[in-house]
Amino acid sequence: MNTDQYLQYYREGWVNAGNRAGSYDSLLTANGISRSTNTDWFDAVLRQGQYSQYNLNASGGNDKSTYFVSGSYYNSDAPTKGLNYDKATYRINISSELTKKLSFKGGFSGSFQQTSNFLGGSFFANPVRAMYRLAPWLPIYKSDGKTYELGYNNGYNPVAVIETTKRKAKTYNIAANASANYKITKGLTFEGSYAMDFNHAFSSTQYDPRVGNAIVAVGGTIQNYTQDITNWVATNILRYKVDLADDHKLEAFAGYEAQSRSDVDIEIAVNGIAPGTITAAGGSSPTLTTGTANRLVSKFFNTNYSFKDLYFVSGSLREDASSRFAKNFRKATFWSVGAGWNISNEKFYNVSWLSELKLRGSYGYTGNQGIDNFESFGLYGAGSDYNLQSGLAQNQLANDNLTWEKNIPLNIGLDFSMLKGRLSGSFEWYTRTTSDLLISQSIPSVNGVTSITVNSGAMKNTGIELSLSSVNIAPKSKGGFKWVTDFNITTNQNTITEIDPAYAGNANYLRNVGNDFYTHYQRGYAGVNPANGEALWYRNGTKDSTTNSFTTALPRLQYGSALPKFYGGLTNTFSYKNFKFSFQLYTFWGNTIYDDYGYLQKTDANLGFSDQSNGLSRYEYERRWTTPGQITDVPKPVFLGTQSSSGSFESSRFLYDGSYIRLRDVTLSYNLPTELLNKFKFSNVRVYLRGQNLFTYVKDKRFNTDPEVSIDGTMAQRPPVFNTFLFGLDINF
Amino acid sequence: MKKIYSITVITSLLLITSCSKDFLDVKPQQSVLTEDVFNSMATSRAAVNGLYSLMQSYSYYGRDAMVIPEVLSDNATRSVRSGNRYTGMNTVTHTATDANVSRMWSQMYQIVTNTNAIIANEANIKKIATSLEQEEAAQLVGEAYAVRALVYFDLMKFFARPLKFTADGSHLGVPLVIKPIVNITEVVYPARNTAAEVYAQIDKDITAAIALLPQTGNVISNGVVNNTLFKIRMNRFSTLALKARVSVYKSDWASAADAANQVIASGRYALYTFGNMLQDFRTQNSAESIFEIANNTNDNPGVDSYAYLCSQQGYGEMLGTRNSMNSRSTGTTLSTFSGLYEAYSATDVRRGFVALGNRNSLGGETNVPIPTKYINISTYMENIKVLRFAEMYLIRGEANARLAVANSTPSLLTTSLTDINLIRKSRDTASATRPFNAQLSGTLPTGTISANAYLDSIIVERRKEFAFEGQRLFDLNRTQTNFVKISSGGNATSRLIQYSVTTSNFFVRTILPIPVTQVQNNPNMVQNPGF
Repeated sequence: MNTDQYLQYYREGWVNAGNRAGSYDSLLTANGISRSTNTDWFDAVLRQGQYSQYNLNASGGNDKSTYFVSGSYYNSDAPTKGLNYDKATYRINISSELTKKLSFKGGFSGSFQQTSNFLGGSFFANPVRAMYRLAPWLPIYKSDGKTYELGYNNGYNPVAVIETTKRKAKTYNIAANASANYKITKGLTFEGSYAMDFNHAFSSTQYDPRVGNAIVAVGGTIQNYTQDITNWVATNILRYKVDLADDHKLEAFAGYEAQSRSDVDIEIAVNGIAPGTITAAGGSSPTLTTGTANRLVSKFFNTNYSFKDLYFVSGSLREDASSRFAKNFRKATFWSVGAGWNISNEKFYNVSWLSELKLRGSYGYTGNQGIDNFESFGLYGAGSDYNLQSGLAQNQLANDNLTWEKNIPLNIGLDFSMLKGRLSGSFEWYTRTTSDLLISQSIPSVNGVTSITVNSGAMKNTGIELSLSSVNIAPKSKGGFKWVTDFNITTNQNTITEIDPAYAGNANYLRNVGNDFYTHYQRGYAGVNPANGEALWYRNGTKDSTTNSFTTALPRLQYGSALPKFYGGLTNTFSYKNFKFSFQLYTFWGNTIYDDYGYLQKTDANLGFSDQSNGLSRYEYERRWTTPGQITDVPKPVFLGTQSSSGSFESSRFLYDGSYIRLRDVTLSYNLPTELLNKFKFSNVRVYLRGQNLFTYVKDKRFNTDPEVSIDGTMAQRPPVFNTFLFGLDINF
Repeated sequence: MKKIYSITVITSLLLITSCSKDFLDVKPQQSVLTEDVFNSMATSRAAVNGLYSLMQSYSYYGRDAMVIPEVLSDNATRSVRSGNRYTGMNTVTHTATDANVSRMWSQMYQIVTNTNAIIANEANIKKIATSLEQEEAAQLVGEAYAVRALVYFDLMKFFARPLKFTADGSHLGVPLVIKPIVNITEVVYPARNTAAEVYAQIDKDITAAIALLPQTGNVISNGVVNNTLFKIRMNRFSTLALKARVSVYKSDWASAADAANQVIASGRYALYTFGNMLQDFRTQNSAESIFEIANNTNDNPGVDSYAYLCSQQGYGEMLGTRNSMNSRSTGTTLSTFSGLYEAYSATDVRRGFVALGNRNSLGGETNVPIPTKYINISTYMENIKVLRFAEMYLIRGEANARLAVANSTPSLLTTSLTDINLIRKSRDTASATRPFNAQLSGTLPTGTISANAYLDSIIVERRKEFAFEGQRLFDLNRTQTNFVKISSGGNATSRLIQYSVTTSNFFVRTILPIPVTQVQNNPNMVQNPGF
C-alpha cells in the first residue's frame, strides 16, 4: 500500500474517531506528513542477488595407498542489501597399508567462511523489520536528496543502516583425524582413532556514530566477538567378521569412546570510536569472557547376522555417561534390534511383476541429553557486578535427579520394485515414544527463579513415509529420452501423552494431553460487528457469545497446530543424451501459522501515525468495514482508538493457514561429452543453470508474506525466502 | 627406519584411551556452585554486591519502579509519539499479563531469595571471617536484612493496600518467603500473607539490620572503611531513613518522626542549595543522597534506563502533565485535572526538572513538561536516588502534624511547620516570604490554614519535591486522595482518555495485578481487585 492509500485509510479512522474530516489536513501538517513522500521500503532494502559455486575433486592411488583431495568455493550476494557470504573448503584424505596387518588412514579438512550482514529479529536496526513495518510517508533522505532523514524509528533509517553499518564475520575451521587398523587374526581387527576439530570465529560490527539514537548518544560503537570451540573424540573398536557355515555371515564390534567439547567466547564492546578507525582501540570497553565444556564417555557393542541374502538380524547395546547430569544419573543403557527379510529372494517366491520385496523393521531404546552443560546444578552466576566490583546472584536451582530423555522408536518398512524396475519405492510406518522429556517446568517466581529443568512428560510421534520412483519413459537406447518421476510424502502425528500442568512452555501453545506440541492457543477473534465495525472476541468456548471488550473476552481458545498434516515433494527429471532437466514441487500442508508481530503491525490506526505500525496488506485494506451491515473480518480504522487494537491485543485474528505448494527447484544441466573430457584428463565436467523458489501457491488469501517458517509456526520478521538463479560448474578429476 | 618410525607412531593410536574418574566432573566457568558460595569472604562479598546489581536492573530501580508510580498517577503521561512501552498503564487498561509487572515481581523475589541465603548463612560467614573481618561479616548480613526489608516494603507498596486499610491489617499482603531455596525439593507454593504479617517481618528485619550494621554508619569493604560506598550501599542511616518511610506507610507517626530525627541528627547529609539544585541532583553521591543505586559507564541499563526513556535524544516518550493537556476538541465535559506543571510556582527551582519543551519526534507535542531528573545517556553516570534527605524533613513534618491533630498538641504543629517551611524556603524564593502557618482549631486568622488543609498541602509539597522519583502513586494511595489520570494529552486535537480514582474505586487498578503466570502456576495465590 502506498502513501495515498494509507492516508485515506487514516482519514477514515480520524472520522470514525469522532473528529471533523476537515481538520485532517492540519493533523497531517502537525505530524510532519507529506502526501508527496512515497517510499517503497521493499525496493529500498532489496536488490537483485547473485551467487556462484565452484567444486573440484581429485582422487587416485595404487593398491597400497589412496588419496582424495577436494576443494570448493561459494560466493553470494543475497537479495537483501548488505548481506554477502563467501565460503571456501578443502579436504585431504589418505589411506595407506603399512604392513600386511597394519594400515593407516588420516585426513585434514578445513573451511573459511566470511559474511557481512546485519542484525536480525526485532531490533530497530534490522532493515528487514523496517521493510515490513515502516510507513511509506517516511522519507529516506531529507530535501537535499543526500542527507539521511533520521527523525523516525529511533534514528534507524534502514537505508542508512545498510550503508553505514559494517558487520563482518569470519570463521576458520580445521579438522584432523587419524586412525590405525591392526589385523589381529583372520576376521578380527582392532582399530584406534582420534579426531579433533577446532573452530575459530571472529566477528566485528561497527555502528556509525551518525545513525541510530542509541548509537549517536554514545558516539558510535564497535562490537567484537570471538568464539573458539575445540572438540576431540578418541575411539577404540574391536571388530570381528566371520562366515560361519556357507551362507551364515556374522559381524560384531565392541568399542569404547570418549569425547570432549569446550568453548571459549569473548565479547568486547567499545563506545566512542574515533572517526575513520575500525578497531576497538581507545574508548571505553566492557569485555565479557565466557567458557563452557561438556564430556561424554560411551561403551558400545554391535552385532549383525545374515543368512544367504534372505534374513538379516542386528542388535546393539551401549552405555553412555554424560557430564551434564549429576553424579548418580549420568549413565544410561540403550539398545536396539533390527531385522530384515528379503522376501523376493525366497525359493517359494515367484511373483514376476514384483521383482523385489523386502520387509524390515527395527525397535530400540535411545537417549537424548539436549540441555545446557550445567543445567542440573545449583548455581550463582557472575556478572551481577555493582560499582565496578564483582557480584554473584543465584540464578539456578539444583536438580540432582536430572537424567537422559528416553526414546523408543519402532519402524516397519517395506521396499519394493516392480515392472522390471519401472516402479520402485518404499513404504515405512513408524512410531516413536519419548518419555522423561527434558522440559522446563515453571515454578512460582517467589522461589527466586521462574523455572527449572526436569524430566517430566511423554509424547508420541507416529506417521508414515512413502517414496516412489517411476521410470515413465525408459530410454530405448543409451542416451535416449528418459522421464523419471520421484515422489515422496511424509505424515507425522505428534501427541502429548503425559505432561505436568506446571510445564513452563510458551504461553502461545496449549500443551495438554491429547494435543500436539505446537497447538496454537490464542484469544478467539470473532470477526467484526456488522452494525458498527468494532472488533469482537469470543466470551466462551462454545463460541456463541461475543464481546467488544478485549479484556473481558475469554482468555484463550485452542486453534490449529503449527505442525503440518503432511509434506512432500514431486520431482520430474527428463534426460536426453548429455542434457538433463528437472523440476521439483514441494508442498507443506495443513499447518497453522501465527504472526507474532501481527498485533503490533495491524493496529487499525489505533496507534495514530506511529512510524512502525504499518503492516496493513491490500487484502485487508479492501476488506475493512465501512458501511453498517457489512460482514467482514477487518475492523474499521479508528485514529488513536483503543477498542480493536492499542498494540497489545494478541488473538486468533493473526492465525493463518500456512499450507503452500512451491516450485522449489528447476535445473537444466549438461555433462560434457567423454571425448572432450578425455582430452583434458577430467573424469567429469557438469555445467548447470538452476532456479529456486520460482513460484509459490499459498492457500490463505489473507497471508501476504512467505509461508516457509520455523517449526514453531511463528513468523518473527525473518527475511523471506527469495527467488534465485544459479549458474554452476562441477569439475571432477 | 622411516617405516618403523611411522609404524610406531601409528601403533600409539591403538593404545586404549582410558579416562580418569574425574573426566566427567566438569566445573562451570562463569558460575559458582551454590554450595561453594559462602565458603569464602570473597564470594560472600560478591553475593552481597549481587543484591545491589539486581536492584539496578531496568525492571526494578533501573527504570520500572520509578516510572510505574508516575505513569499510573496524575504526574505523567506517554507522548503520542511513543513505542510500545507502558501502553496499558497509560490508559489504566493494563492487565495481569503486563510484562513490566511480571518482570518486576520476579526481580524483587529474586533479590529476596538471595538475601535469604545470606541471612541463613550468617554463622558460616562469621566463621570464615578473620578477627579483623568480623565487623564486615556482621555488616554483610546486616545489609542483607536491610535490602530484604526494602524489597518487601516495595512489594507491599506496589501489590497490596496500605497497612491501615483494615483496622488489624488482616487484608492480603504478599507471600512471605524467608528461607533460602537451593534445590528443587525446597520449592514452595505459598499463599499471600496478611499485610500485618508482612509489615511485622519488615520491622523485624529493620531492627536486625540496625543491630548488625556498623554503629558509625560507615560501610566497610575488604576489611577497611570505604567512604566511596557510603551512599551506594545500605548502612545504618539509610536503614533508618527506610524505617521512617515504612512507618509513614504504616501510619506509625511516632516511629516515623523518631527515625527521621536520627537521620537528620547524624549530620552526614545536607539539603541542596537553591541555586545549585538542578546540577547537584544530577551528580553522583550528592549531598542529599542517603541511598542511591550506582550506575557506571560500563554497568548500566543502557537503552532500557530511566534516563534513556526520558531523554529527548533517547526514547523521550515520558512527559509530565499540565492542565492544558486536559482538553479535547469535541467539547465534552471533563473532570477537573491538576497538572504537575501548574503545581509549581514560577520561582520554584524544582520546576526546572519539568521545564516546558518540545517532543523530539516528527509530529510530537509542543510546550509540554519534559522530565529531566535523569538525562545522561552518553556515560550513564547517574545514580538512581532511592532515599533522599529532603524526604526526612517532609516525613518528620508530616508525622508531627498528624500527631498534633490526633492528640491536639499545638506545639507539635509548630515543630512540623519549621520542617516543612525549611523545605519550601530552600526550593522557592517566593515561599521564603510566605511561610505556611497552620492552626489546629478555632477561627483562622488571615494567612493561616486549617490543620487538614495543611496536611493536604504537605502531600502537594511531596508531589513537587519527588516528581518522577517513583513516589506519587504511593502518596495518593496511602492518603486515599481522589485524582484523575489523563493519557495521550498531546496537542488539543488528539484524543484524551481520563481515569478517575475516587472512593468507590480506590485500589482497583491502582495497585498492580499479581502477574497472571503466578496466579496460574500457584493454586494458593489470590489476585488483586479489578484484574
